[in-house]
Amino acid sequence: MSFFVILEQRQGVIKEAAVDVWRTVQHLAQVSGGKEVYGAVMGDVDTDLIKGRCAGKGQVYIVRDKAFHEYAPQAYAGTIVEMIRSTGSENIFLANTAMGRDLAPRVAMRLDAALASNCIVDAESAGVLKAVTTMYAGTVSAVIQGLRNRVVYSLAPRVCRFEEPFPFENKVEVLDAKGVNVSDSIGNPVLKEIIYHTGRKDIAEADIVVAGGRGVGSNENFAMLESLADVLGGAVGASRSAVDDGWRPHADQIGQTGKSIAPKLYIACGISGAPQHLAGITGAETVVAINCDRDAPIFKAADYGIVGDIADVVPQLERAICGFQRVK
Amino acid sequence: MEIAVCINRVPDTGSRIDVQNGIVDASRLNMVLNPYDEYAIEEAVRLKELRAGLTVTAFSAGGKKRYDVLRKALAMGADQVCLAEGGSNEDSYLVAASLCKAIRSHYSGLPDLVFCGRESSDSNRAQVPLMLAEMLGAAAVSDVTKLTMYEGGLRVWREIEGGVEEYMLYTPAVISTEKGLNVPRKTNIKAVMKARKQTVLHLDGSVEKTPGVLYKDFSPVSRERNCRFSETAEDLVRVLYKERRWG
Repeated sequence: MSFFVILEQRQGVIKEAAVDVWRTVQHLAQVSGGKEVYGAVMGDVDTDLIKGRCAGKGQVYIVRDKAFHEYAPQAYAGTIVEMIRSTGSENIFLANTAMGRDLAPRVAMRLDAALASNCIVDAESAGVLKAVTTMYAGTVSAVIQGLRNRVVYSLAPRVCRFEEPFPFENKVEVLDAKGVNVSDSIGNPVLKEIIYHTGRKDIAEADIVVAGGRGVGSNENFAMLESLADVLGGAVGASRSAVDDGWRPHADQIGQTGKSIAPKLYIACGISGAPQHLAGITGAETVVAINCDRDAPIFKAADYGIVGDIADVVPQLERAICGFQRVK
Repeated sequence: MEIAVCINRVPDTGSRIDVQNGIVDASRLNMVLNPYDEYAIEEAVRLKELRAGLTVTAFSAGGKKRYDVLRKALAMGADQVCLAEGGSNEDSYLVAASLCKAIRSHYSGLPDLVFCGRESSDSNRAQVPLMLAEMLGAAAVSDVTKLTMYEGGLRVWREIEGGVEEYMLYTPAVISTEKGLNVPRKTNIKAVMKARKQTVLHLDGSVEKTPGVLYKDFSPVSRERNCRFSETAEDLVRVLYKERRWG
């Protein structure tokens, strides 16, 4: 029995979310009696780069096919399934990213595996894995029991942060996958183009997120939040009402109908804190709330708070941070 | 051209979910059409309005309680609705299998397009659309926020972390719909009255398969944190820095 990790790369870089999955699996493999760990990277990625990102023990196979450099749903699923069959791995892990959500059901179906989506996994005694997920917009947790021989786990973003789990000796072997039948055709659908937003971080990947809600007041007032986020090196998100009012794009929406985020620091500006919004920020390490209404529900879900007008507090906060950075 | 839309019935997103002894108590919840499925129905109906000879059929897997959401699909503009009976809703795999059986029996061959909402707002699995696509042997793109149709194929866009992907695909295809694709129409009283008189087709959705997963030990999640208020922004920054929350 072994563990298999699907390592997502974009633009030749292993995603942070995938590195977190790798670390989690290294931990699981260790506590469940030193199980083998295999990794798979699709596309041409620098070997040393993988060694630098993925520490621990195990073998990472790279499928160096140009056609795989960008996500090709059918070909990825077909090739990965073949690799999993040849390693005989029973537990398969990937990050619950846009790609992971699309790929996991395809892989699970082709392997006749159980699918545990958006979960966190721990090893119980005797190496039995326990997967826990949330439902009903994050208000209810549930244990997922796989009823097949194989289980595909898509891990919730960034819930497992091992700062330096296995620093001593990196015994990971990075090999080119040989004998994998790379399908000639990419299949259907075909990815035509990826347009990356330049100059701004994605809220799902940023360590610091500054978000605004109805209390921000207008599209233009978001400039204050942008400015604060710039100083902190963070990204700007929005509540549903700010998106529905057309102030921000849907890609920036945090909450039940938007993204779930897990930054180190989350600063909610003029967000009342509806349950649907709180669903998206349960993974945040520290929550700071700024709102003019002391009774706003957001303060119940926050670690730190300031009662005040956004237009006053946000620029003050930016100045205070700048001042602090200078002193430091 | 045939379009199938798969819809689900879920608790109103404003509902408080009660958990008793590890089980979700759904008996007193107000049930509605899954919000993500509204985008699916809307997109199908919009395509119908653009093209002649296109039929939109909504499917839902479960019992007669689902008449309400199927009638909502009719009121939004679906031509006909089918209830896939006799299956189980234990997990996504069984739901997909039930829908697959009903869709296969309703059409000779496959429909050109199958629309599903990105996920159900209750279980949040986002599994059924892709599982159904695998079962039907159809192409699939998930979480679509923009779509254009041409002869024999589609161009679709989906959001990823930090960008947007554009795909081309041929039919038959399964598309899961994400917020942003369209703005679902409100139903008017005339359409609702008309929908009430239309018949719901009953199809065999029974499947002799075992679920892939079992969900158990449900428990409420507390989101409460202990908020410490600061009087000024300077105080807040000092505390955040001192407690290593930032910097």
